[in-house]
Amino acid sequence: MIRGFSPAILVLSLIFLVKALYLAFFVTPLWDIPDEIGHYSYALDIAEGRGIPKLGTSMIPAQVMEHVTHKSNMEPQGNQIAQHPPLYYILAAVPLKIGMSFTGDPEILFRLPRIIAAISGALLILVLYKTIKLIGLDDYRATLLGAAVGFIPMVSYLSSGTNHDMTLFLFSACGVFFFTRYIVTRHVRDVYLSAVWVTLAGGIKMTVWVIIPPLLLIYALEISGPVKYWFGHMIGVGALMLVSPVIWMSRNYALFADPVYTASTNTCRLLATPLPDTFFDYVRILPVYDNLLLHFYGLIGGIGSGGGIVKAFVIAGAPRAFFSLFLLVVALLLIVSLVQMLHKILCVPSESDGMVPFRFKVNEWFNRGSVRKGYFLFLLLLALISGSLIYLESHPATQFFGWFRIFFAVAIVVLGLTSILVLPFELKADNYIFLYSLIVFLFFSCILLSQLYGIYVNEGRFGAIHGRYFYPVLPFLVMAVSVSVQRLYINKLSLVLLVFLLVLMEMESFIIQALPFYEGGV
Amino acid sequence: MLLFVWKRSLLMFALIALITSVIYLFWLYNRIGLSMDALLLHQTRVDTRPVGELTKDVILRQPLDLNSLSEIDSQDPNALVYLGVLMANYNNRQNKGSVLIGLEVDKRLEFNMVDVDVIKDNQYHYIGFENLTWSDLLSANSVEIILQGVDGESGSAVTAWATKDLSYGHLISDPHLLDRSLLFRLGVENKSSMRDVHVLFLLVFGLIAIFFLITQPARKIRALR
Repeated sequence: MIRGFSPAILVLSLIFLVKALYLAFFVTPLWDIPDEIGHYSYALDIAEGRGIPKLGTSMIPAQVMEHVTHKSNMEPQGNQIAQHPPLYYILAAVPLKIGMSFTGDPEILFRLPRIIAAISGALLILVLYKTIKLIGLDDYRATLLGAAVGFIPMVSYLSSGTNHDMTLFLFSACGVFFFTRYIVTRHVRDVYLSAVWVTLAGGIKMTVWVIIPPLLLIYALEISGPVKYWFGHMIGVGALMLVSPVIWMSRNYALFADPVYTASTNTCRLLATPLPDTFFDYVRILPVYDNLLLHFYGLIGGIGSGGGIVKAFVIAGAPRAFFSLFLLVVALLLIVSLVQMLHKILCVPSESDGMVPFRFKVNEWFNRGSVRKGYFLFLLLLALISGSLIYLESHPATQFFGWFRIFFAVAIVVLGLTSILVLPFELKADNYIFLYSLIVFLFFSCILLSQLYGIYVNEGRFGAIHGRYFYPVLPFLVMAVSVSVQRLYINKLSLVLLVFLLVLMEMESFIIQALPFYEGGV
Repeated sequence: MLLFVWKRSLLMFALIALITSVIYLFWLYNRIGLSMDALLLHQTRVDTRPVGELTKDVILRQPLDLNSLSEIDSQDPNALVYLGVLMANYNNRQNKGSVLIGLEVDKRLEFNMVDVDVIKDNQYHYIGFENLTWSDLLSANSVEIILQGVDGESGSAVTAWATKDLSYGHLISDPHLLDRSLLFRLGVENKSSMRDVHVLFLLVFGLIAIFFLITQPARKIRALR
């Protein structure tokens, strides 16, 4: 038995691996994973020794295009996926390179890089389990929460294709593991290890760079010791986190004279006049939150290789209804947990762990009982008002269960904002993990939404609404939920019922919806 | 030889969960039926109206534009054809009699007699044709959808919906060519021979996961002497 893992989580991780490999080699049609053509071609460039491809000159080979279109004499096409940093593709090239020395069968070779996503998904479950265990949750609950992620249809689906999202998810989870361990144990070595994983994740996809500023800020608040010591570590950790961004931006600058050059830099079709709509117009007119959440649960397909009318579909029916309920439960869990935390901090004598290095210390005036209780009520009122305003400014749900999804989205915003206002208080380690997780998640969400809004006003399209974009910060949300489960003593039966339904709904999603779609059905 | 230590109550719970899962998925798999298959032609709903009661001797014909069929090239030529027609029963009224729903391919009529009792209000009614393959349609010179009242009477007959989307032809109510089209779906049953195998594997993965999630073997493993 591998040290530190329960037999159950090992079995569940193994089942996930076998399931993902089975889907990869026998079920998920080739190229029906988002941008799989481009991801494969990038890995092929590396496997065949052409090095890291250059955006603009990198091509999708004719052989791949012929396989995609079922037509002969196809021309190579430009590969916009070359905009991404290379780390994932170096990994994906390994099974491809090995396979190329054994077989020339394209049906096998095209699928070989998929192995990396399957392994990433299986390892992700183990890393999440270990991270959850750090906060002291028992084996049973940690296994349920860690394994639950593996039963989100989109996670299983992406684990069966050539794409960087699952490896990105894994590396981000490793970063969150060391982040959590630092908050719990205060060994500064863990800060550096988390920085290593963040920079590695940044070497897969640029979106991870977004979490570097909030993480640095958190470490600035958390690292204790003399100023010289603090300053030295901050420089060290900052430099480490910025390794991959600096390397990739330098390359972009050298090649394109633009450090953040991407496929859309020159190719996006800008409107002559940007739309006059504000951000609130954008989220009121369009179902932004709803689509992000639905696509997070399951947006299956891409090119509709099954031959049916539909090229991709969003999982619907009972699984969608259950997922909406699941989100409602998660939102309520987080809300109750935060309110309970606030009540304990502000209405019950301090529960300090005595470790408040660079945090802002609450002054004596603020420590008066009546003032603290007033602040408690103020926070509740603020959360209620801001929540209501955001709710009213959101695109209304068209279905009953849609309201649960909107509620979840609004809750995430309000919880993140409220968490910032709780930070100055002395808290236990798990409380900080909870608050920081919500803040980092919110920060990332805001940046993502601002990018999506930019696409809307500048290009006039409702695009890039992908739930998988949240994978870099999803481990933070898992940690916030885990802390809530621990704080509120959620019993095993409720938890096991929820995860059981998650598995059942995932089975339904694949058996009833994805399989017929892959064969051309709707 | 190793033996995991299980908690009996959890084992019972796991078994109940496994049985529930299998029953639920089996029920769902059978219920979904034809709608799981490849849908090849369908129209949008534009100013939809009922075609009138399908009483005795009412015959509606809709010749299909065969060019629209030949553009679809990715289907198994041996796949069996099915047809769905959007029907209505006047707000769940008690109706009597039967209607004929069929496809006439080069004057060969393939049809089903449908008891109006089974026609649901505002839902597609699907018919599978055991003697009609996709290649039959592709090689045909003429294909018509036929909808005929057999013995229905006014006040207790069903109807079908028609749209102004004329992408796939005009409806004919002899001798008139109408400016509407039946709301229909044409597809093939293209369930691959591997689908059942995939279902079995996915079911096994899911059920093993449920079992381990619920029972979670104890950390200590005892060796039997």
